[in-house]
Amino acid sequence: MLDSGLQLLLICVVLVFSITINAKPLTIAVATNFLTTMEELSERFSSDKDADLTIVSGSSGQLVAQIRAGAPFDVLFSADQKRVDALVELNLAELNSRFTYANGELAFYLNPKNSKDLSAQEVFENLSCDSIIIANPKVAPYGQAAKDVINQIKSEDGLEESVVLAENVNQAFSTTHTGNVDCGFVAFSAILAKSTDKQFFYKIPHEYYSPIKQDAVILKSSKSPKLSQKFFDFVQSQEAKDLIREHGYLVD
Amino acid sequence: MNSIDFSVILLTIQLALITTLLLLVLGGPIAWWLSRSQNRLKPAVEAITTLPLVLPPTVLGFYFLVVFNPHTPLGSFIVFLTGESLTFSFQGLVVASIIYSMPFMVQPLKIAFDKLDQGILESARVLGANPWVCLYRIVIPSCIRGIVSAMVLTFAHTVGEFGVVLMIGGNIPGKTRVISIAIYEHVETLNYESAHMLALGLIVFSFLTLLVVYAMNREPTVRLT
Repeated sequence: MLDSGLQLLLICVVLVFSITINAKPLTIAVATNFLTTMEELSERFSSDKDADLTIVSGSSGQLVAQIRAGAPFDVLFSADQKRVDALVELNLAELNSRFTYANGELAFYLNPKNSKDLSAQEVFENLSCDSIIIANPKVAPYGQAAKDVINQIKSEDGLEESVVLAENVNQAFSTTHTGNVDCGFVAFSAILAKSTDKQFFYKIPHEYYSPIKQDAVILKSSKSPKLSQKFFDFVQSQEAKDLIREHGYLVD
Repeated sequence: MNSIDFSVILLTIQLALITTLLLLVLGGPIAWWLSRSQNRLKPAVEAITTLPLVLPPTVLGFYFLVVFNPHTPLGSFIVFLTGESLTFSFQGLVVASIIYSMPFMVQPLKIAFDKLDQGILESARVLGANPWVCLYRIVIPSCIRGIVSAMVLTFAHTVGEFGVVLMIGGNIPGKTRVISIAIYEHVETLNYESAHMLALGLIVFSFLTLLVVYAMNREPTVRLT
């Protein structure tokens, strides 16, 4: 019985250390706004490159915090430039690899189950809803942009009480979509992905904010920098640019 | 059910199984010591092993990230030894789960050991049985219910972990995406069908687990006629 106990222990020790991913792996950390687009990009890339792509999503701030704590990512597709700057400064990312892959646009989304007769644009202009959800500005660039827009419409008069913070911009979308809040600031790409009815969303004019420049960078800790660069080349190809544009982004 | 969810279930079971077995080996002696010792430090040790029960997972997650960050001396030493950081890896989840599920192993074991008749053990010793024989012939058979409940509870609690895993494991498919994390992601991406499948499965599993524990711990009714 002692022997079988030892065997069990040995087996589980071996199990612990045997979990490694084989083939040619590439782990992509992507800001949630770009997740669905990234899934399509990676599908097209891996079909002719025979690579094993793993996608991890979160708010840009969350992903950068994970990278600083040693997360095993190869590349980061952030939703801003600021955090990429910080990674380069900390010597955690390759400066030469960085590029702007998309310019994101912000949309105001009205819960489709609401009883209001107003259009999304009318509600947006007065921010006349009981609860508004935005991504947490501290970690999500889309949340920061949303906060700036809100401050322009209503300069500090108790609006903060009605603002709910989501962990990332996709959570802001799903919470509004399911009717748990009245309205939300979301990524325009999310609106396109769910083919939303026109009266329920309003693309926020650029006079309120400037489109969100989103940068990608290869991380110094990457175990497959060559494959990372190949993927970056692909994302900058005309085929990929067209796909990104189709998903509701502006591409230079 | 798609193949991704199947790998999520497999990974969760793997994590819970490894955690349970390692904790049994680690928690057993601790529970034994807590049950037998008169040491002045006993209340402190008992308090420490029970801490994970009352602390929010963020506390453990935070210190785990601080201590095992690959840029710290200890973290970089572990990377040097194993080639991989404990943060955002399966191995890291095992280490954190061992700490986090500790009370679920130690407490039931200690209670079972407390009930053990000291006289039988002493007689066995006097008759020349060595400690290993005592363990296999007396302790394990008499405490089997407590041992099984401890293991089942530890397993179930590890399956149900969320906060710690999210903080120190992130959400990496095949490495750290366990059932609870997958449910969270399905809900966020409005993939309710997959969320239901995993969530309902987890409810049924947890109910059956507790049913087994309570059915087993029911005292047999003794009738004196």
